[in-house]
Amino acid sequence: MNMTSKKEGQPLVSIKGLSKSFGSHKVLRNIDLDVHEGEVVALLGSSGSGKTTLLRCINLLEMPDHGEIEIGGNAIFKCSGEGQSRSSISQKQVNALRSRVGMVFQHFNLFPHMSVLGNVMEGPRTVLKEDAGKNRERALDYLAKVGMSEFADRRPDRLSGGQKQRVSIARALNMCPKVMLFDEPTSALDPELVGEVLETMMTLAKEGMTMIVVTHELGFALEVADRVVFLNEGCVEADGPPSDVLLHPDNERVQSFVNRFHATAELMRPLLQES
Amino acid sequence: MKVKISQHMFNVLAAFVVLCVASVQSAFAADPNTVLDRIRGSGELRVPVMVGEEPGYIRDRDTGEWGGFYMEWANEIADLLGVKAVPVETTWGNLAADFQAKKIDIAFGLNPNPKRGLVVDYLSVPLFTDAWAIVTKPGFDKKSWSALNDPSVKLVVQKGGTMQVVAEALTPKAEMIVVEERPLGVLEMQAGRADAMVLAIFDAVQVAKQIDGEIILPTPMLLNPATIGLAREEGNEGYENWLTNWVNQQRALGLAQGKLHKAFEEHGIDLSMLPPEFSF
Amino acid sequence: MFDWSVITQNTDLILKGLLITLYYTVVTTVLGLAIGLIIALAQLTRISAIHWSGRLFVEFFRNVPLLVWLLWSYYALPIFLGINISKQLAGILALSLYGAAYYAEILRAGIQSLDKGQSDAARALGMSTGQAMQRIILPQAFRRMIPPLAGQTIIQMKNTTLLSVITVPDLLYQAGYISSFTYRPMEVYTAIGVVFLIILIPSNYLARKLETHNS
Repeated sequence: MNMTSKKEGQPLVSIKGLSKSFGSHKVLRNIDLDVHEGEVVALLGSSGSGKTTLLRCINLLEMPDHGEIEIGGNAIFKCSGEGQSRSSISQKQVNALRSRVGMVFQHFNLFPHMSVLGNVMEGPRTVLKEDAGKNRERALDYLAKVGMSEFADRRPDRLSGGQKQRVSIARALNMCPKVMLFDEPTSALDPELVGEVLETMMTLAKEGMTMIVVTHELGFALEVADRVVFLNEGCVEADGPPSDVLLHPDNERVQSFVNRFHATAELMRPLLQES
Repeated sequence: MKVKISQHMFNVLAAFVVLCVASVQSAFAADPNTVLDRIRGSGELRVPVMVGEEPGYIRDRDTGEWGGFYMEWANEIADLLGVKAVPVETTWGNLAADFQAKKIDIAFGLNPNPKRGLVVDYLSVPLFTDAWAIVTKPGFDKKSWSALNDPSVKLVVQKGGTMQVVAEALTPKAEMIVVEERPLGVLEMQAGRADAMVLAIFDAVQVAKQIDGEIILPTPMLLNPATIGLAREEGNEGYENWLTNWVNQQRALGLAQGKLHKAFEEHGIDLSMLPPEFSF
Repeated sequence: MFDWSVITQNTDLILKGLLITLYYTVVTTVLGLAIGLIIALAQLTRISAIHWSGRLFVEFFRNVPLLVWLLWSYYALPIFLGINISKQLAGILALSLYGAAYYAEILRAGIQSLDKGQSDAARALGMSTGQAMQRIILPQAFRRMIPPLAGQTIIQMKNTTLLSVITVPDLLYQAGYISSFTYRPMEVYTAIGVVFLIILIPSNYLARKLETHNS
């Protein structure tokens, strides 16, 4: 799956009219979303708004019902409308796509039967069939990048939540993805551990990684995201720069959502501006 | 246009059909030599053998080879047929299934049993005759079937064997203990939970030797004919006939009886407790 | 009262029986695990036909007594299908398939007990189902299944005693054989019981060690 052949200005990830139901419950209704290379997009919304489902559709961990998804100019999912047959890509192509899209999960999902280094090396080893030497070198680099070098030979169960999440970021990075998807990366962490993970993510963003982040951290959204997309009951309610969407919302639902977090956001801002 | 078939025409047609069917059937009627030919063609006479049946079947403990008077008869028959007797190990309980599954060609020492007779053909002449006896601890004094038919008597029999049928028929009032295997019956005697064990005379002499018990042939003496069984299949008439002739010859010449006497003597078993009028 | 000489004089027969019992235990356990894994995976697919074939297999073999399967393998195949089968093969067939049905359920439950996140992470990296199974799912599932698998294997070993019914010379057959010419079943069956204990208690201990070492 070639992700670099695209026209100038064409989005890296392009989603049109995406819909998904679980049984009779419509989770995504006609979602449109474009993400350009180097952009950091924060997906916000209350629980059940469909943001996690949307994220999981991008790497086809969930199979949408209809709509179009293009990544790097290649159509990976296309199903024109109600009752139409789906023209999806083969499983082999799906796997190839996933190897170019990194994902970080809320509950880390590290492989407990491997060491930290083993976890980071697993992707390239098994999926890309890469030579062990090169793989290991790069893996150690990424571990250093996330600040976890000294834990290389430890087992995941000995780590704190924040440490585990940083390892899982290194694991995803070692595949050299073009896009990184984050599914509420800090929601399962104790508050004092959130900062280390957010810092790592900020570094990534600064380096130009294309990131789509489902999060509740409004501070992160304000400070790091280029765009905020607000979802409510499967629809996009707002899509724009964070300062517009969050600080001057023109939408009642966004307003009430923000109000709940406003106090926290105010507190976070000075802390973030310092770093 | 309606066609009337005259009665005459109909008769001719019917006769024609009957003739056709008859000729087809006779073409399929089995040749009585079928089974004999098959056995001779295969070069093997497959004989069931089992442990715990000495001296009928004796397995050499070290070499694993099979002997005993049943095996000797099998070898003689195989020789006459120009084939080799091949032992196939099994158990009494599995014999009918072995026949059905065509794993064996012949079986020795079977008591004609109507149920088993539904799948097995028995020769109508006995190869030898033994008698029903009981093994008891010394001092037991009931010597007739009527004396044994008493609620105070505890008899042990082997499950599924003809001895169970005999006991249920002749001594229904006695208390019956049914065991899976002969050694378990011996245990019941040793534990004092049974007064006597019903066994065919051959087996009785074995058991008596082991537990220093006594053998009594309850009166009136009940004979137990043992014969040869073969699979019920089409075309076994020749085989059955031939075996019947062989048995008759063995008995007429006293060969069968002699073989049994010899086997028991060699096995160290004293046959003197048998009444003088008894003969195998 | 007890005459233990019947044991000491026949240790060679007991040892022969033990070797046969161990042989069948090992062979049918290995085959049972392999077949059981296939059946377990079959039950986990979404393809209806394969899924239901797996279910049927398990229901069939778990709900019919092993003795019946054994006699079926040895006798019914020749009677109904004209396939003549040796008692060794019949024994291996019946015991392996019977064990497989139980192993399949243990394996399936073990695989399903894994956190779905593991499979998500594996797939998100781009692994195929086969790779995810081999590298991530099965290694973890096996570790947690060691206790029930060990338990089932002990049952397998006890199940092999049924082979004596079709005169395969295992421990129990030898027990019957020795009883038949010594007329001392008490001593003989006690000795057999002791042999089972000697084999199974250390095996159980090993299995526990394996379990704690891996968790």
